[in-house]
Amino acid sequence: MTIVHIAGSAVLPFGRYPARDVVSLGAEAARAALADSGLRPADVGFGVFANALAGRLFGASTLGQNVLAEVGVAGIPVLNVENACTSGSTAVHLACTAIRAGEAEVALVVGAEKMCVPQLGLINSGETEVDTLLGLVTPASFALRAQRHMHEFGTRPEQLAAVAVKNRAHAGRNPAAMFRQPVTLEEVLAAPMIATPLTRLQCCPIADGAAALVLVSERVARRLGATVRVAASVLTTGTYETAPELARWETDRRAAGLAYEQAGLGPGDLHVVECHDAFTIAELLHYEGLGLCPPGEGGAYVEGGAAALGGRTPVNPSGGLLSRGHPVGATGVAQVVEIAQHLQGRAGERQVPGARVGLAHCMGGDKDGDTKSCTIIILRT
Amino acid sequence: MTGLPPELAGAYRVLDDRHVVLLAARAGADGALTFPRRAWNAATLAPAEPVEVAAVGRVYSHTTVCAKAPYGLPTPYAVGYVDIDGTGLRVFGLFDQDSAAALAPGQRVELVARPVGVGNDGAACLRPVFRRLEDAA
Repeated sequence: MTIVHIAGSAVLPFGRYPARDVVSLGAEAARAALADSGLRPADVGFGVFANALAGRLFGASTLGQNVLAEVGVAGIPVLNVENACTSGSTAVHLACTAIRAGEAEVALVVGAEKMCVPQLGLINSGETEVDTLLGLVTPASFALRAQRHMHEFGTRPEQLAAVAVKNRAHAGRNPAAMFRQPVTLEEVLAAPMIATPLTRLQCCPIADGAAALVLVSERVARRLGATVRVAASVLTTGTYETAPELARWETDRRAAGLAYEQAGLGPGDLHVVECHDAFTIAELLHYEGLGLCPPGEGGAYVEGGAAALGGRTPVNPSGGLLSRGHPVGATGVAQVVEIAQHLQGRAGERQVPGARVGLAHCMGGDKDGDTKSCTIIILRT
Repeated sequence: MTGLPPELAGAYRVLDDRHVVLLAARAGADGALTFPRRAWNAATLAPAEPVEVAAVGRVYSHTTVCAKAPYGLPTPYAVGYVDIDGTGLRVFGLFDQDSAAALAPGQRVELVARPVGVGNDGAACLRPVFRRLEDAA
């Protein structure tokens, strides 16, 4: 079975693009990733497009064919993926699967989203879900985890806020991030409350944006000189237990275990991590789920600087969802782009020196107190 | 006001005294209860056994949502998970406004129906809300 490599990558800076549509955002990222790879549109044998909200917001469907046609890619299999916040990383996973199966030697993965429109409203799990009718908006589901983590482990509000401060400092070094001005612990804690104990600066912003990757087989990678390879790619769901454990995320632990087994390494081998910090508590839970620290010690981990640039294992050097922004369909692709660029030594001012192994983690959707989808992709040189 | 919104009617039954029972099912592997009710047993794929559960338990986690409330719910409003006595179920729910200020993990609560907010059709409706047992009339 061939080993999938990263041949090209690109991220369109996340932010607000009132005059652009989803197709133009996606096509710009796709064109840039193809140019980065040195490949031509005619070389692409498989396409995957990720988007989560265009159907609901604009009545659009099967936009992937439109995006790829804009960059001259047609007459090949094209898939459209909606998998909540993991739409983009699921698209990466599917492209890896196709290349490993020998269905294609070059795959183009594009994630794009346009969210900064008046009709967005609060994101939930769907208007027919019982929990939605009872007021479960996404910030509340994470706030409930934060409350339980504080109750069980004594995690403090200042430790939650430290995640937002760290990620904003990282974003200051990332020209593609949405919010780059530093914030203080006091500012994070004093921001308007969204759902106790999470203030506005502890909740990721909506954004427009796009990201793209060109994935290739080992044979094509040798020809191009591409050195970053996919060491593991895992996609799984929650287990939807009747008594969800909110202070420990079993789905994270299970997905991470599978990914480490595939890659033949462990959390101590990671040089850089991107994770799904939709809310500050999420990043603490992911430290613990990924094995970066023991259960319950996420607060101390971030407070001690281990997750900061220059720390033991920098987490979210891009600024994460909290500061880079979270255009849902683009996020999972952008996380892999970020890791790839660190491993290629192309991450600019936020470069993790000597990074050779990195992990991108994403999760999306709520069901019965668990996530609907979790992905982990490990890259190494 | 006619009662629960249709999306909730398959999950709860309102008794004459406005107490609410959970419409659960013995549908999990090893005969575990599931809520909301599932139609099929996960282990055997046979039809699941319907079970009605008295909704009394202890608060597991709670939060107060201060962002603009959906469905005409009051702002702020409180939600959380409750461990239902003797069932292994941990269920999500709204908390009664009068109980919200004094919530804490372990607090005893029961489920009652109250007129709260609107449904997907915009009409006023009943919703099940947990209230502190000490607050019960």
